[in-house]
Amino acid sequence: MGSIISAAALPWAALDSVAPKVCSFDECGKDSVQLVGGKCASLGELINADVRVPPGFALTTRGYAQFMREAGIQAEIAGLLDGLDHEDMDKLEEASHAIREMIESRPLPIELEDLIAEAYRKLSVRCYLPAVPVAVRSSATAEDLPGASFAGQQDTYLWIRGVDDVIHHVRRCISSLYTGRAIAYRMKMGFPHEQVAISVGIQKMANAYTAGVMFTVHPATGDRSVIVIDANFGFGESVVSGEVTPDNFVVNKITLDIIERTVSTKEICHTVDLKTQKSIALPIPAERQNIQSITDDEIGELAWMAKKIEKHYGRPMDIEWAIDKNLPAGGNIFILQARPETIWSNRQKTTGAASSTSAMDYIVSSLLAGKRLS
Amino acid sequence: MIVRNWMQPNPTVLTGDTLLSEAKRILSEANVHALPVVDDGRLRGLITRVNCLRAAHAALRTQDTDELSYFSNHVKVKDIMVRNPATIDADDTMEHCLQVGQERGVGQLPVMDGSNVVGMISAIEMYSLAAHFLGAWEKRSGVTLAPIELKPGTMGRIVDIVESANAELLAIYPISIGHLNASSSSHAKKVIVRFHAADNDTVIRALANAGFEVIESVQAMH
Repeated sequence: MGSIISAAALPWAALDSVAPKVCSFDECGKDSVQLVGGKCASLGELINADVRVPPGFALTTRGYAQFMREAGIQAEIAGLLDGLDHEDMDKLEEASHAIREMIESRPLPIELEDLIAEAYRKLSVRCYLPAVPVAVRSSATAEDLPGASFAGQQDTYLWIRGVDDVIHHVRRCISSLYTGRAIAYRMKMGFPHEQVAISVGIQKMANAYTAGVMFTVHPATGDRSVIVIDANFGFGESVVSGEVTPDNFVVNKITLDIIERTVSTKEICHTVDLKTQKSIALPIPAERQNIQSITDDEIGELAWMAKKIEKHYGRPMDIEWAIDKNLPAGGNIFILQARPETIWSNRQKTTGAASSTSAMDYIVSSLLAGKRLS
Repeated sequence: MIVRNWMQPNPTVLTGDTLLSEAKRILSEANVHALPVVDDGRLRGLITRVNCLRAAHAALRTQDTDELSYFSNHVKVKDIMVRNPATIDADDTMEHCLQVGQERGVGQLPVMDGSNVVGMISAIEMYSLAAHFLGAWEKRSGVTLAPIELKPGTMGRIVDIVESANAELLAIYPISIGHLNASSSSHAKKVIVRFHAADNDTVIRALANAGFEVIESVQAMH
């Protein structure tokens, strides 16, 4: 699913000194990338476009900077990285391990702890569940940077409950700036380590019955007249990481008819173990493995939401979604992430066919050019 | 009228790691509405009974045994407490305390002496303050005068009239009309008079003769 953690030089001067250290997603928009990173900014953008997104908040890059400053470890980090070669992965991994341990053992400044804990408490009140389960994920400030995709893995911690655990995983997300690969990447590109910044998103966890991804362009053919949906039982991680072959549906973007349907054998799903309140991987019972993991009605609603999101952004999108099992139908489908689709969009720019901004424009232009639609 | 002399001293305090179920029991046993949360001698938050009850109801409403078990065994005070609550200094006045409570919309204030929590001011202390001021136990009779412009000597005249009508004057206080913060153009104030008298009517007649209109009258029953 592309890179979530990446690193780039941050123009600190551009960051307003009164910018918040913690802010709610609904206060973010596509212009807040510098403050809350790409992921949280896009969630704010979706919320403000009236798309159903689980609520949450972000520790901003300004909060991150305060943590690093008050932890007083930057000199030590620089010392550990001094003289390392970006091609010597063993040495880099060793340094990465030491640095990440150092970051994860430092307490958060009390001011930040209080800000995060208060935002988390308010989220719990809003969701009406004490110590509400959340997903804690890093949100990078420069995802679109060329070559950034190999700068780090996607750091996502699911089903985190309680202030202590939330704060612990916030630190783990911060330390993911210093994975071996991220360090190597910055060395190669010549970014100073102390100028990179990261934001951390804390979002209400949808207790997904089924989840997955969808594209508003066919990922294999680049056909913009269809929406392609991948689904598996449980949290979307099994689909995102590629550890199962998900059910696959191709939906006509105009009529919302399902034109292709592939139900696969799904052997594993990620879900919550309610006894331990931890996210686990679970084998799917044999009798359910070949059952379609999403109903046709839900596919229709998903496709309709995908159209709305594509229209809002005016370009093909790559969307993560989940269907909550604790909520009634009609209000249970959530969008967890939406980002511009990159592969086909980039290719189309070179062929000069990317000027159309709606599906209908595209279909009409395809008709004129004599292209078969489905 | 210093907070230190009105507060409830040496309150029970909780730590952030206390289980919420334990905190609920302590709140009930102490029969208070809120307790300060102190870690390493530092005030970290305020836990209120309302927030505890809301959390308990939220957990119960799920009707899920695992959720209830998590609530009873894992949810801590630090998950529910309000951070950076409004506080008041032990050397502040009670007037200031009332003002803070009004402005922040809270009725529970930890009292600080430097960085230490030394007491609590709650609605109970506020009741006690009001009761003392109004002499709630003394069974006073009294009247309220229609709003008048207070000039030098006005209060003295009222006192003279009341006392010469054979009443034993206990208290006299002018109060602003309208909302507390409203800076109304008129400076007229109602005047509340409290006294012991065999018969209110004598006092009311005397006041009326002197040009003071009585809009309320309370006759204490002994």
